[in-house]
Amino acid sequence: MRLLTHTVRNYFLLSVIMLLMSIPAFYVVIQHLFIEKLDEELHEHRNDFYKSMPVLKTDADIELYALLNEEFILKKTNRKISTDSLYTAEMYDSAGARMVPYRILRSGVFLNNQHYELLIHESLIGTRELILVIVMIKGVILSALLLGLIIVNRSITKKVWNPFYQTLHQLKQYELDKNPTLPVIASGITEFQDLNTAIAQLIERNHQVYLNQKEFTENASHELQTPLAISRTKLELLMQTKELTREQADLIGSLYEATERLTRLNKNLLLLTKIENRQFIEKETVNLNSLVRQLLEFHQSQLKDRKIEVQVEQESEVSISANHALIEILLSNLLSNAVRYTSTSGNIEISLTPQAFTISNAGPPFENATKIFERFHRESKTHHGSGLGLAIVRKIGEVSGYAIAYHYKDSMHHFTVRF
Amino acid sequence: MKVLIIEDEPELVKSITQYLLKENYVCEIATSAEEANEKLWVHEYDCILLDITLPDGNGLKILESLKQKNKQEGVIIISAKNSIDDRIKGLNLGADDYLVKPFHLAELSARLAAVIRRKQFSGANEINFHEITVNLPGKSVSVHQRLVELTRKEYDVLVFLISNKNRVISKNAIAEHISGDDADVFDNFDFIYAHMKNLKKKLTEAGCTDYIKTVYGLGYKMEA
Repeated sequence: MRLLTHTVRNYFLLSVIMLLMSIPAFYVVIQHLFIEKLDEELHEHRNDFYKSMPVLKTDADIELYALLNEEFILKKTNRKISTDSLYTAEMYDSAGARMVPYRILRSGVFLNNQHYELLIHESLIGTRELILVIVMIKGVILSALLLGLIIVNRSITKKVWNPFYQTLHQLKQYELDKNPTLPVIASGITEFQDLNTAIAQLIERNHQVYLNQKEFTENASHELQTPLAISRTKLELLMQTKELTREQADLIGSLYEATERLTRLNKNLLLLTKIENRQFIEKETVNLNSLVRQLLEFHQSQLKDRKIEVQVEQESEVSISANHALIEILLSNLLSNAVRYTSTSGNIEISLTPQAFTISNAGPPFENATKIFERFHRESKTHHGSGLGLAIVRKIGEVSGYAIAYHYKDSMHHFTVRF
Repeated sequence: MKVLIIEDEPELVKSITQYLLKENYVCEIATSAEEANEKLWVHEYDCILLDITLPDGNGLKILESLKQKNKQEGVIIISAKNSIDDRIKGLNLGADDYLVKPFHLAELSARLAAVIRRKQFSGANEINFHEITVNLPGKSVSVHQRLVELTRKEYDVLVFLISNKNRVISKNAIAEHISGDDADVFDNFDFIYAHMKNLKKKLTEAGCTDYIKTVYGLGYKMEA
């Protein structure tokens, strides 16, 4: 749930509860005020009646008065009513032909030597209407509030939260190796401004660390080249010395082999760094069919020697726009890998379409299939690969925008490159 | 043959000199751009090995001034940078070859020989090794004046071996020589054995003495 929806929902819930609770409260308060006012009125009526008392001389006068003033009821009584009382009671309303609540002031008067019970009443029907009106007003306020909240929500999302969502979008798109900084989105809101600044600083620091690391790898590889070159050439010279015993030759051979491996490793690390640094940018149209042919030709003797059969499935000529060196390394590494991990007399299948290149080879499943694209991960200790071949494949995929996938099915490894 | 080695790494210079001396090259050494310029001012060389990352300047400048003076020396750039840009720049400036560090001494020796041959014989030349004759422009090999059908790789290996005759050449050096820098694939060198076996067979069948010897644990040797 969005933060804003969450907030608004809570606000809205609170508003509804408050409004619903305020309806009876309003009712009680207003009714109280209303009755108070009514009571005052009733007292005024009584005073009016007191004022008119001197003119009411006969029973006929009294009757006439009660007839003219509907709210007065005069009943003869034998006892004197000395205290006034106020109460609410249901009475029959002849006009509406129903029982209606009334507020009644009961008082006693003494007219023409007769005790009267004076009842002055005012209809309370108005208060019921009042409740209706209150509920209606509340309803209108409630809907206005809801509408207002939605409108405010929308405008906040659009205006105030816009920089936040933009930043979020940028962060989702962000790749450390591609952009050094994040363009700062201006926002009038202090919190967002702080967030943006903090993110920008974080990214700058991270990028710096990334650059340092990259620079280190590159420098280290370069620096290693000279001692490696010396070591290699000295061993080559040592090989030329006369009268080498078998033991010595063995030792030199092993040393030389180790140096060669170091050299290859270093070369591949350097290559990986160069791909990361995007030093291969020039693109040209590359015919993949002929590239695959060349690579197979290159491996031919090895394939023949190990009796590995290769089937190539290609319907049409496939040409893509790519960096020639990169695409060659990519396909070459995949093919070498397939050759390396195919057992003798096994088979390799290659399928080439304008959308994808797939290479499949028979072989037992990998122990750590999820790790195969990681640097220095080797499935087999018996093969002297650098452990960087597939890492380079993945890196080339990343910089060239190809999706590289691996799956194991029907006792075969399948590597797919989607262009 | 006089060769000037312009390289600032003393141990590497020592290795190169030691290897080339046995091929009867006369080597002179310059460990800085300044020293190199001095030597080039005074002497003439058949070939120059030029490291382009020197402590006191870019080696490409030396190459530039050399070509401006219209000097005829062959130039092989040896560089720690395997960048396509540098390679193209170097070759455009008139270098004859470009070798990336770390290189095999056998490879350097073969390239040096090729450059000198091109300079001295204007390309139309042959290499002779006993009864073997290699026609370089035609890329063909004959034994006792009879043509031997070799594959491109077998031809490359043979020329490489002859260029380093009487030297032990490692399988790695041969593998890299015939497949370019991309020798990462050869975790086993079975394919080298296959090429060598075929080459030896074809040569002996043509009536050639078997000069190619296997050196136990190390590689091969073309014995004169």
